[in-house]
Amino acid sequence: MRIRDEGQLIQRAQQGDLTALSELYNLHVDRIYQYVRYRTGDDQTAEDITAEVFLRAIESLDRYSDQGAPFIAWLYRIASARVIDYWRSSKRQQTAPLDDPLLQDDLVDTDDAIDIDFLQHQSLQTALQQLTDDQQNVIILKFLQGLSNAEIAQVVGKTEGAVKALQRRALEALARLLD
Amino acid sequence: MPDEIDSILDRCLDDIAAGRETIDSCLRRYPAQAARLAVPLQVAKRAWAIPPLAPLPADKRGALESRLLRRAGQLRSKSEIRSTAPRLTVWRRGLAVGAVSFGVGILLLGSVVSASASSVPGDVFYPVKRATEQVRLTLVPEHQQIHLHLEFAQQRLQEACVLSERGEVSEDLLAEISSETALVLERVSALSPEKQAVLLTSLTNFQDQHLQILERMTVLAQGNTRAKVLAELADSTARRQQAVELLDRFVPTSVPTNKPSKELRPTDLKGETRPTQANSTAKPRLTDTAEPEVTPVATKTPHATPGKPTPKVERTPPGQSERTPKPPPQKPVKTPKK
Repeated sequence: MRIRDEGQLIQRAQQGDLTALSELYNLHVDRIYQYVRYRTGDDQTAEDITAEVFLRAIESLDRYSDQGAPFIAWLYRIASARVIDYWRSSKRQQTAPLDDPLLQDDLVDTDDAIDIDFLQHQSLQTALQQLTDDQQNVIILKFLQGLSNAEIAQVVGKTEGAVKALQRRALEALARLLD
Repeated sequence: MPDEIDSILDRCLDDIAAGRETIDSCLRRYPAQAARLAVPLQVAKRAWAIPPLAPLPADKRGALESRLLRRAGQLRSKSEIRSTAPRLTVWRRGLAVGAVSFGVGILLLGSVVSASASSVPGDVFYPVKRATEQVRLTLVPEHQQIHLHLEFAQQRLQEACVLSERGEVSEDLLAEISSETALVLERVSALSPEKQAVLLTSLTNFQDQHLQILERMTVLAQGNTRAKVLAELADSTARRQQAVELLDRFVPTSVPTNKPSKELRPTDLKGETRPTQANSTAKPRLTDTAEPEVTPVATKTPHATPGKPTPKVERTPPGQSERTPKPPPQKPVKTPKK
């Protein structure tokens, strides 16, 4: 969908058009859900936080103004804040060590048909959760969700140069965790 | 330099993602940075290789959508309510709240004052009634205060009448009636002749009622209170005589009698009207001729119930200038023994 069309959708949604709101939701819900799922590592938590994100978005939609950032960037910012709140409130250990034998055994024993992609996915997700919030955002948004540096900069509130530096540090940290 | 390696890495990532380069070609292209580029590029390739996560299941997606649209509908309703309501700035809102509070206060005050109008001593709102009278007294010009004093005397008499129906006699109320009527007599000369005549007519009518109430109270009162009622009766009769004399200067042929034409009840005191010439002349008329003049003194009437005191009149020598009301024929009185 073109940005101009999305702008019209947003305007209609702000005026109370539920059809426009439904379109916006269906356009972005999967990306937000996947982002949250990567950040939390749990389906149910991801569903709950995704619901929170869209509820927040609807409640503050009249305050949203298009300042050059796409609507999805605004949703990502809300989602990122909610994930941070989630980790703070749950005080959970964000991850177990990659070489945790319990984790490895559990992954293998639960389903014999698990393929290498799944394991790689699990390892990467576990490693991701040990990065800083900004590093996680860069890795997820750029390599798993395909956003440009400019779009990531709008989500994390930094310059493109800062995002490039963040990207390198995140990849180097992830490499250390995956070794 | 960090900025340089960050830019080179980013350029390599873009080229690999677009299929223009491979990791090896990038490393060959930037041999000086190859050692630092290799690991990040390998990790990036691994991340790209991970298949995307499954989308939100359709049932949950639909349930969440319904929930959101419901919430949006609620918010829209609230917004419509807000938009139809007048939007007030903070200070205007404060002003509006203040105005409403003031209005409510006035209404409450009005209700209390209204409720206090029929109160009598001992009632909760009686102090409000008295305070309201004092406020009224301070608000009217001095030359009009005399009318209020008469009105207040009427109020006290009405209250005394209510109390007497309960079998109570208030000495304080009687004293206040005396002082208010005395004030009226004292200040009436400051009015114009026409206004004096009107006011004195009202005063004498009031005094008639007052005397009748006092007579009734003499039955109720006992001991010292009864003595005070009798003394009040004598004083009030004297003041009525004074009022009649003053009134005679203006309307010598139409003077009200000291007996009201009907039985007085508390409600009769409300909305009292000034007597007209017609109704004044219908009553027994005071004269200064052969009728013996009487002076009120406490005594007993021969036909009254034993122990029931009534106002007593004393005959004065013929030719004396003082005029006194003619005593009612049905209540002959004796000269008191002092």
